[in-house]
Amino acid sequence: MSVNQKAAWFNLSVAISAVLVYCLLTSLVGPSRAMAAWSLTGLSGFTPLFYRRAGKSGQVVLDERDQLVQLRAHLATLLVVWLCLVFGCMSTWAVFRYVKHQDTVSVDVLPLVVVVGGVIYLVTMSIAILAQYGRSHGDQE
Amino acid sequence: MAIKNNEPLMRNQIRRLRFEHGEMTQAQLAERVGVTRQTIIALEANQYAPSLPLALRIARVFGTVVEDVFQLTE
Repeated sequence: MSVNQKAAWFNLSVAISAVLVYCLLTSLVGPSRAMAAWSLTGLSGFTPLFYRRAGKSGQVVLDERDQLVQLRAHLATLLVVWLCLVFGCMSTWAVFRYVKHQDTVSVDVLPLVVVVGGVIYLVTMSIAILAQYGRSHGDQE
Repeated sequence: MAIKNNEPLMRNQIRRLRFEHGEMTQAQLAERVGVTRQTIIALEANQYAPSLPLALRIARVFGTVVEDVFQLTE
């Protein structure tokens, strides 16, 4: 398993854990206090350690193929996050404006947009990386 | 650069050349050309088309020219 794959599995685990904890806390303490669960996504900040630790052993950590995989994953992620952000924000505005007939939204909506965007970013990036490696596997010498 | 379906398929003789050069392992070849073993696996399976510098480095390891290692099949 390449370093990219390990980092992708780590980030996917972090994102899924944050979503599960948020759902659990929402049922226990309510949606506003459950926002604390999103702080778990900060664990993804440790991702660079995967590359640093692998580099200590002296072997090649990232080659041209790994960089191509990362580039494609970034492009796919940018597309998905942008579409979700625009659709999420515009649909929220439309629902509040024309369905609920409210001119204001809860302050909890703003951080929720940010963290959900972050979770979508982590999940999309991880899946895009794992899917690209998954198509080309083999272990024969 | 990855191989797309509408592009000519690129085949290579890396596996054969490895065995002809003292049964060199994928890890040994990867180390000599500066890539990961997974990339050598992908190359041998024709799932990845290497950059020109990498193709040249691989050919140099086997003491031959790029055309002897990589071929385009129309």
